[in-house]
Amino acid sequence: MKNILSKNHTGSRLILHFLLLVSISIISCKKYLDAKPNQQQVVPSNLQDLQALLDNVLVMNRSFPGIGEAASDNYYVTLTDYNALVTAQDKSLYIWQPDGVVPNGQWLAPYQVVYYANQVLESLEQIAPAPTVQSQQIRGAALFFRAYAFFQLASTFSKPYNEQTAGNDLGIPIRLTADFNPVSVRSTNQQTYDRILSDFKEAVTLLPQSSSYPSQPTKSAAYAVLARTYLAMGQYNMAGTYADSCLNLQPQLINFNTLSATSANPIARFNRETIFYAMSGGSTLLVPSRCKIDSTLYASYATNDLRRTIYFKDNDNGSYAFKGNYDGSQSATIFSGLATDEIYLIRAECYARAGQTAKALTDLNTLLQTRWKTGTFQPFQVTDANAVLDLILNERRKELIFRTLRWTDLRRLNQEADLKTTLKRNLGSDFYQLPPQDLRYVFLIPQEVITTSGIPQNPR
Amino acid sequence: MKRYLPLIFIFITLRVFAQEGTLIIGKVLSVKDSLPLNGATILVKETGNNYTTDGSGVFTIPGLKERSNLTITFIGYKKTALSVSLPLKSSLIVYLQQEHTELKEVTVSTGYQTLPRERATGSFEKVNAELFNRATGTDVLTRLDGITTSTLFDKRTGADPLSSLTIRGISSLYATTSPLVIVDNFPYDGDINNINPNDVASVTLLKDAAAASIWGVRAGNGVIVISTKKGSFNQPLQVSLNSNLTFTAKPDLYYLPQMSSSDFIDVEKMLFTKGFYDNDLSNTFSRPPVSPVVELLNQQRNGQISSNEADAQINALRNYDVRKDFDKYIYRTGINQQHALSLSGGNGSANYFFSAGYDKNLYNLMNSGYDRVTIKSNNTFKPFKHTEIQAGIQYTSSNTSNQNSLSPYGYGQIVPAGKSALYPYAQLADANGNSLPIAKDYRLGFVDTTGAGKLLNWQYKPLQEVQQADNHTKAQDILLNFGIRYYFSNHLNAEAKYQYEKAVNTNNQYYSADSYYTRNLINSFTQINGTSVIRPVPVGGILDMTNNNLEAHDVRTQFNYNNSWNTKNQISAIAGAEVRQNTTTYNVGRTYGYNPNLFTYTNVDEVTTFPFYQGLNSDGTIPNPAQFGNILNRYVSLYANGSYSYDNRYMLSLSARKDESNLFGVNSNQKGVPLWSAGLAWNIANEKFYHLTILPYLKLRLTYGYSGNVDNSRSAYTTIGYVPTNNYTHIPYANVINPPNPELRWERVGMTNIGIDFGFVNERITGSLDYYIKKSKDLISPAQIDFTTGFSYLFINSAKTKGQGIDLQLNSKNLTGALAWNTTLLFSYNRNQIIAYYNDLSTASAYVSTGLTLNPVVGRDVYALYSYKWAGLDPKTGDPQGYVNGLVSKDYSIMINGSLSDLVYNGSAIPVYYGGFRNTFTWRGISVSANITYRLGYFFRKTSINYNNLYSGWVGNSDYSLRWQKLGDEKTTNVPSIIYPNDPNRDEFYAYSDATVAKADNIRLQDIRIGYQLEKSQQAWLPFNSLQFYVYASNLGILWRANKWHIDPDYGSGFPAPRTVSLGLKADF
Repeated sequence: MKNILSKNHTGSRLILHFLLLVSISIISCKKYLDAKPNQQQVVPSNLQDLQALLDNVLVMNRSFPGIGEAASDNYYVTLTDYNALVTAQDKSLYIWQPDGVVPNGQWLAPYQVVYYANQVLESLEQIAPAPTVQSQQIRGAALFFRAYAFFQLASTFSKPYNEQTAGNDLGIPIRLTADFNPVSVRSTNQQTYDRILSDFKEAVTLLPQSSSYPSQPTKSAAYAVLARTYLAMGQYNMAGTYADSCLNLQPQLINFNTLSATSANPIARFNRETIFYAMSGGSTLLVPSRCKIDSTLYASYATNDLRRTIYFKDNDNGSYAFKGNYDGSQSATIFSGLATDEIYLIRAECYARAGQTAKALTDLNTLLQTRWKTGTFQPFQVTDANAVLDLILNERRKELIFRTLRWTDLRRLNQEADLKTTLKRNLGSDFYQLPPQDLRYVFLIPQEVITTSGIPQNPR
Repeated sequence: MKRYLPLIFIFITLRVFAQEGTLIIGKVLSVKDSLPLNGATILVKETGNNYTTDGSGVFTIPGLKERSNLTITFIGYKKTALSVSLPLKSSLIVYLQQEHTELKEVTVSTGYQTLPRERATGSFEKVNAELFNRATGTDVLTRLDGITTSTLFDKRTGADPLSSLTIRGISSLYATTSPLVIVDNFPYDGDINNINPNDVASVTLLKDAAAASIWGVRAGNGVIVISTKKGSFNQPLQVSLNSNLTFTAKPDLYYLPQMSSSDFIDVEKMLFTKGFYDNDLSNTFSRPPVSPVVELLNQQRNGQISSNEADAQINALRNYDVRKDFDKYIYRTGINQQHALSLSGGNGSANYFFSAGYDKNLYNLMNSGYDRVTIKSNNTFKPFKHTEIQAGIQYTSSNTSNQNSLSPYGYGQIVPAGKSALYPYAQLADANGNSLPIAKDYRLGFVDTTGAGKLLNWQYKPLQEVQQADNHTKAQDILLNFGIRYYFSNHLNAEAKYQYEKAVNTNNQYYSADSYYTRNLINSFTQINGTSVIRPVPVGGILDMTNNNLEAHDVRTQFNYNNSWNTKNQISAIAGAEVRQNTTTYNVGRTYGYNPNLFTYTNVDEVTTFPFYQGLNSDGTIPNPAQFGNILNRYVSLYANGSYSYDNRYMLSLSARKDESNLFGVNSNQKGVPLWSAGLAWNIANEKFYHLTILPYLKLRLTYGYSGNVDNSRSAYTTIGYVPTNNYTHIPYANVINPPNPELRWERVGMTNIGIDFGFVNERITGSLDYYIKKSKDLISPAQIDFTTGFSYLFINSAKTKGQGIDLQLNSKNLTGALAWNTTLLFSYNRNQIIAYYNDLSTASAYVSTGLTLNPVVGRDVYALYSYKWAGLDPKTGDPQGYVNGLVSKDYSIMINGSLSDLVYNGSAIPVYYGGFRNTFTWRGISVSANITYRLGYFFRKTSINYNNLYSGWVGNSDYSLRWQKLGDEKTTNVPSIIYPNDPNRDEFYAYSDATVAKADNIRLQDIRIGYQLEKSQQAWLPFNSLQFYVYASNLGILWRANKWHIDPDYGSGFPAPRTVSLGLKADF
């Protein structure tokens, strides 16, 4: 190279210098390669990123398991509609076939919520090691979502909680890390419920009083879900206490007289009763045009009971469809979140079980007052504690229809000798039934999960 | 990144040849492409002296007599004699005619350097302009189909040519499998359709590591180098004109296995009696569409019409076939025009090339078309000694029109709500051609009466939508390049190159106030209360706009060194560095109430949840598809490449390259990957011991090396992606895109290539044979994972594939007399198998497939076609039968949930052997050439009747008429009987059993070209140097196929490419 330069040719020097300059600048620009390939993609690095993950309504609020409702007794499908069903999964679900295949999403979707929550909790430790108000709220929300998903999973894939056997009953895998490497193991039911309760209880201390959207959990939501969880566990004192705490913060009810009975979707999404917004799905059995309300159940709504027309649509052929979804929508995806009507009923039931019949009836009457045509409701005046409980359980079923609560109630109440129910289905000449505490009250875990993780399957 | 101001140099200079006294200066050019011939010998008969032309084809002869006879000879060209009388009246230009079609001295371009093929170690395949222009068409890539080895276009899914093209099989499972396209010097980031094929001088395929690895991490799928035309120094003005017209036949709709209307109606009648439609008929929630036959049956059941009347009307419908209407109203004969003009020339210090092209295409589908204007200029000049400057510009402007994407009307695209197809007796128009409505989203009776006149017309008439189509994409693409080269000495030069590209695409889709999409959306949100009508969506058009911007910069500096000594040693080396950046930005937006005449629009409330009209659907918000995005890719690369040859016998090449990119979330030190290759070649024919005079050219090649594949969408860290808004809270939210993957690496493709090039005496037979082994490792692939982790798959560098193949090209000159007959045989063998794959836990149903997608199973072809084992139909019921534990069974659920080992492996779903057989006859100026292509050694799955899809999706299949109906049918058919209630698993089993698989092998007549050429050298009166008329017909049909179902397996479930006929002329002045 040297002899070239020594030729003292100005042009060549200029060009050579230019080339060397370009080459050096190319090689020396390491930062040049740190630019993000896609502006919309980030490594979560601040609280806004974590909040944005929790604000993912589709993942965090709208994908909970719903096959329990499809296996419950609030509805029926006609034989012709049954025959026209497209998937084998729905066909087997309707008649409680022991080997019925459960859609993968029923397991995957709630565990996705668990993953998001764990990711947020882990990132939070790095981003905000010293707690701030906002970081604490995010932590509370993540704990809430994780426990909420665990509870939904436990209600679908584990036996109902029973104090005596919970230490041996198979619970669900409790994943507390975003790392996908640890192998999943099934905890005991006791461990499952302990974790759910402790997460919810910690969330209570961290969550804010109110939020911008019911899809974001609040303190009252944590109280409400604790009431729901304890109720499902049969621990009525605790359930009542938490229901009370919730209603102290959020007692509003919708007066059904203000709703339009002719509307196709009378109850709006994010309405004032909604404490926490969550939706469940998973079966086309619940598509409104197919899913017909059990006729005895429909008949139990009195003429002046507004729910008769707010909740139900007359199909003009002697059957009725459900249109009371707390989501402003009619589909097979149904509201399963927390609403004040449920909490009133929880508190009423717990009062009744504790023998406080007057308080129980006050709660029940407060609720029903808003459900009946103005001026027609005669408040219940019963004194017998058992009669009050029966009344409340009956009204509970009527009020909370298609909220996925019937399945957890059946699992819970079937453990009590005088509250047992055997579910029955007719299809033409075929007859099917599901006796109380049958093994089929616990759904099969999708086979892919069993294969990939090696966890034990539920017995049949 | 600095931005360089584009520099455009356009120099047009014509050289005037000097004539002084007895010294003459002339020029020797090839008649075919008017390129100068370097080293032609001119013998002056009178003196016996020899003269030679220089690099520009120029010769100088001093001291000539008044009349002299010259004989001009050049290897590979016909000896030409002429007499000159001095003084010359015009410049002396001698055109030599080629002796053979194949040139022996072939250079190949890698995009970094041009090297003589004879000294190359790598596996290159070059398509010259003549072969490239044998076919007609708007785009560059499809012309390579059937004329090169190792290239395979997978046309089954209808993907664009680049996405469907692979070279030597696939090298990546989930990153791109398309080859890298280089135009002249740099990777081409724009739309490949923006390159006018008339500007293409040659195309070179870089197939093995030694050829391609200079392109590093993007070369794993092979490289296509497109060299565009340039002027040359000391060349007089050349003008070339090419113009053609191509007719494309209407697609053959009757090829598709549509179920007959009569059969379809019979099934509907059966289902009606079973109550299958009762739910739809009584459904007052969503009022789903119901077919005309079911409406009639319902009216009959309700006593609205008599059974005679119903029967009469239904039987009338049996005679309709919707394809007739599609053929008549929706499709037309396509007409493509192509015109191209180019000028080129140069003097001693500058050369230029300028071209302009115009294309106008009317496609088969009504209202779909394309027009394109291209302008290209390429100039080189030597402003001072030792320095060469090159500057070019390419500008493309195009307009694409199409059907609106939210209201398509092509066959198979009109799909009523909840269905997957249209019933086969649908009528698009009445006998007088008036368009008719069909039930699209709701029942016709509902649509016609609801709202009592307060709603907008809610009818959907497909033919009206054809008239409403308004979907236009305007694209502008500008490519500027600038290069400077400085010669330090004869051996060393340095160059810097810069290229800038900017492409802007604007898509406007206008849904007028009369279009169904708009009317439907307005009605959906309309609220009627007594006399008040509230319309949250305003009456007026809807305009969807999408803008796409691409901006790319490429900078390269490179040193080139060439030297030879002792006459035997020859060395050639390059080294350089380059930086590339390309940025794509896009945005999508929608305007409601748009008036295209006044440019006015209406604001809408996109936040409030509005009730859906009559609760036909869930409450919702007015859709707002707004979207913004920005993708940035950056690469920094260092590379070097050198070759040494000794005595033209032994050649050694070495190549190394390091690429780094802005791979997201990876530390700088892991962003790069070094890739290398080495090659050896041995020219046996130049050895002293070699005495085979019949085979004067014989060369062996051996190469090995690595290239790569990059997928910048993956990340080593947990990454989340923001979504601007949602329908529930209307605030932004984020998704987890991928969980952390600290092990993330670049995919690597290692290839060994052994090749042999040969030429028999007089080039009667020439060709090359390559055998290669290709191993891809660290391929990113999904690994199934325990759902409990929150993921169903993880993408990790887990898979390996191993492929091997053969590329054979044979050219023979069967006749060389007045009637010349040349044959080219292309044969490619390629088999790629999975040798490691993480994901092997699925049940049988996950492995059976249509063969259209990758199906990785260790030990099998990448496109593995698996089937349930077929045991025939049950003679008593016509039920399909399979095997469970070796016994004939009808327990479909067990078979579907079985394991991989229960399945039958049919084979590869993509061709294993493929190629072409091309014969060309020339006699005087007439040439006739036909290309027969073949694809062998693979399998396909046909679609057949699926009762589930038939009942609920209206998807019929003509196989229905072959179904089992009575005892004994099972001997002649495999099509299951019809049952109700249906068992979806029974459909699934049959659909993916080996009863629906057949060998896909086929041989087809790809094209025929007839040309008539007039040459000035033979017809002196011509005002042209040459003039050619040609007719080109392609997609002429299958000559032989292995399947007896009369299916063309290369087009999947679509219809085969329609025949085309082109008429054209080409003139060179």
